[in-house]
Amino acid sequence: MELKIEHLTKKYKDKTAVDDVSLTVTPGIWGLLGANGAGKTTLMRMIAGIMKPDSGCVKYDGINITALGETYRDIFGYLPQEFGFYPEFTVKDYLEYVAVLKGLTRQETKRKTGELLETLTLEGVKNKKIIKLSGGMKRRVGIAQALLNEPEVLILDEPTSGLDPGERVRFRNLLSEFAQNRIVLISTHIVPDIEYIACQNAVMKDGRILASGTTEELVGIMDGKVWNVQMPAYDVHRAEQKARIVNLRNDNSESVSVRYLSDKPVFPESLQAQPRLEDLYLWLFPQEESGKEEH
Amino acid sequence: MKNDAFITELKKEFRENCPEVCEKHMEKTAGLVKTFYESRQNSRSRTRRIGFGELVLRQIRFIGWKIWCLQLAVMAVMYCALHTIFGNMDVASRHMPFLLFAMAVMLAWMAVPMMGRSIRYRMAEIESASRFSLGRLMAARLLITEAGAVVLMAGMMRLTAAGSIYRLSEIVFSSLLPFLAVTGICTGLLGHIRVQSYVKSCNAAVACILASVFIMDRLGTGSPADLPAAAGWTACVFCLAACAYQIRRLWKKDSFEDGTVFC
Repeated sequence: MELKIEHLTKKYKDKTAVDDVSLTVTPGIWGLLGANGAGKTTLMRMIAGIMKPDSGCVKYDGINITALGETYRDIFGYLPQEFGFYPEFTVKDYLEYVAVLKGLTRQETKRKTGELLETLTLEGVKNKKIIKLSGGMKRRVGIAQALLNEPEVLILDEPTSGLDPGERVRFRNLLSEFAQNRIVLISTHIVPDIEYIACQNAVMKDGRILASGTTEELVGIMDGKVWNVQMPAYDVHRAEQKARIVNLRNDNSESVSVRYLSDKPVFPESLQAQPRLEDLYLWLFPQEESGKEEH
Repeated sequence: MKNDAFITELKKEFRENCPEVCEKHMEKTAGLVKTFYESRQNSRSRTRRIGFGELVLRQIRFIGWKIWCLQLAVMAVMYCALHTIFGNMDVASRHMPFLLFAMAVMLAWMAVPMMGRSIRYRMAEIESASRFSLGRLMAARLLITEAGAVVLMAGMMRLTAAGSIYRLSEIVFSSLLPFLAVTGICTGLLGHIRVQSYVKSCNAAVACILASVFIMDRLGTGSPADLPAAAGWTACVFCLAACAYQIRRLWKKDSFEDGTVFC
């Protein structure tokens, strides 16, 4: 089982959204990291087969997904970044509607819908209209529809947007369990959501893949670039001018623990810190704040 | 055969030091690969999937009954209009063809809002990525709405024929022909323009046609009812074939990338 992305390119009038991207995605959870406008959604749409690239192709097990057509969509689950609902749909109606589009028989629809309503804790709201649900619950409904046909390839575009921390943890656990012998590709700019579950990651910027590899390999890029130092609280403002500060923690009313990124120590008595994936993200995307949700 | 068992078998094959490359080994390895591939295919195909027919039937629950109720309401209004007109034979004889024409155009147009729903409510992306894809879903919706419209058309033509003013061919050319023509236009537009512009484009086209009908009626010019029989029936067959072709083309469409839904 292998999804091969070969030299995908997509251009709009004034911008190249995806620029000659190649990647081989194997079973397991893959994280696709990138800031807003990096090209993640465009790439996801091309992998989903709902947007034609200007050049390049996507192959599943060596066959172009365009040639596979219905066969590919049959084993494919997709959650777009933004999605809507028909206003008259309840949660159950929506799942049954999508189940029909995915070709599930009536018995299979009933079985899978019941299973997913329970797994994603939607049983209590199954007869409620979706437009009346909270953002987090709507997102769970969206995740449920992606899993209806037990896909072998699951593409999730910003799946945790709108979910509270508890829901995020449940979602991570669900995905980890689901990803056995399956390809799961998650695009996000919320690094912690994939840091603990993704075995492989790709970082995207300006339409290109900057780096890809296991989480350990990518984090290894930041070896020797992450520092911790304690300083007086009044010095913090000055420190922000000198280095890229990624975290501030008040130890007490007088001193602050500062975590910053730099090729070499900038402040006296700085100690090397264990890098995280988030540090790599902030190193590559200095304008973005990690954990800031996209709207 | 599961993954682990297959891998164990393969490992056993290669555990022997420097296995001899010979046909017997190659055949056995190829045989193992084939068995594994077939068992994987079988496990996939065990899950039955529904066909297009069942898709259409099951869509009735979600959209069919709503559009049919609406069409029934429109039918009731049409019936009242026709009944009133037939009370005045002079009006009936002069304006009936244009009224039938306008009603047929309206009936054909009623499918358009249904086709634009996916974009209006941002469901198009999920629908495009599903097994049946947006094209076949659109074809299913079209069949459901036009099935209702055809029944209403038949009712309308029957009512008109009962008035005994016009011949069958005149009734058909005034109602069925424009119905098929507008259906062909609206279906054809779906695959050739941006989906976001689809509803507005169809509305504009239908508005122009209705305005033309109104002007023709006011000016007292000829109507489709005056078409020679051969030309009229040929036009009907041509429009029917065009509709069938467009629905078939829609049915085969995997996505609306030609119209670029998401750019």
